[in-house]
Amino acid sequence: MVFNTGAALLDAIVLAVVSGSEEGTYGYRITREVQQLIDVSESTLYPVLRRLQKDECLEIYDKAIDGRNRRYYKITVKGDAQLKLYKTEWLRYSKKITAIFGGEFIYG
Amino acid sequence: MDKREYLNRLRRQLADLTDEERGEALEYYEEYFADAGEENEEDVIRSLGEPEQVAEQIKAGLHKEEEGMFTENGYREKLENDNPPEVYGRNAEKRTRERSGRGPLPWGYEKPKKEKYRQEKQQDKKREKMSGEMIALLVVLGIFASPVILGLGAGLIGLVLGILGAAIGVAAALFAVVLALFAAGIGLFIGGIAMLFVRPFSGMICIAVGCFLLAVFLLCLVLLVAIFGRFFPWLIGEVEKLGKYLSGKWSERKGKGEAA
Repeated sequence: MVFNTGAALLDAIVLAVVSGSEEGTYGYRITREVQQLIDVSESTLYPVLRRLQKDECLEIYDKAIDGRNRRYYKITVKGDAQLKLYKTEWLRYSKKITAIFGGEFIYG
Repeated sequence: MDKREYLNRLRRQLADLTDEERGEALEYYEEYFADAGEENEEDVIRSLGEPEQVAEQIKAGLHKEEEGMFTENGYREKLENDNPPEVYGRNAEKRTRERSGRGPLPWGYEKPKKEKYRQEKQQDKKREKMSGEMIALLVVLGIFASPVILGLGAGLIGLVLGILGAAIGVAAALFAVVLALFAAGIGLFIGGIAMLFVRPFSGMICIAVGCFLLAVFLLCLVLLVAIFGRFFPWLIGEVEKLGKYLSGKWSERKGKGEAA
């Protein structure tokens, strides 16, 4: 991709992906889903998930799967509020960019 | 290198972390391998990259956590932070290295200034709140004032039409007067000539008055031409200008409303 994904946007995308499933989702699936959207390496998401968890935007719980534990990430109330904030910020930002690009297409 | 070897190397790289952090990270990657499935083990190892790289990212993430903060405006990197924002992506490492230290700041990157940022935020919020309230207020005002606005509009149209009607009326009256002057002048003149033979004096007076009335008629004609040639186009022009001004104001307001 041409555009870099900053830390805040990556946080927002991860929060959005996790909030997409009610019972929560796990690291491998989150990575896959985020990779469908943006170009991130497999090792990018662990630090992000860990930080969001420490900031109490995500909570974890373990679930027994195939005789082993799988760690699930679920969005918290705080994480939900954070995601809303990101969404409004993104809307504002992207609107401006889209507007200036649109203007260029009209007059360019 | 298989999964176990990979995780062992990762463990060694994370030796300087706390037991908790190291345990969390290793558990995550162990699960990651398990979820990917045994058959994809090699793929995962290849796409993860060297354990040293993965360890570096884990440590960077932990380090960053101390610098970053969640404010009311979302996640912010430490405000006094001199480092450019972290870059993600396949060649993230290369790009980050290019930027770290001597490398030029990425295009468009601006170091956030604490105070300036806060002030801008507050202003933004105020503006947003204001415009929201203003819109609501305008809508309510519009609904309640619609009879007044409609009445006012109708009144204005009535006024303009009235002025136009009056002007036409005055014009018609002037025409009638002028026509009467002409008729009276001609009548007196012809009557005077006829009278000359019966009562010469009266006939001459009649001719004189007739001539005078015709003169007045000519004068009025000139005036009328002046009025209809200049005044009426001027009046129509003024009305047109007023109309344009009003419609301009209206569309300007409408545009503003849409923009807000």
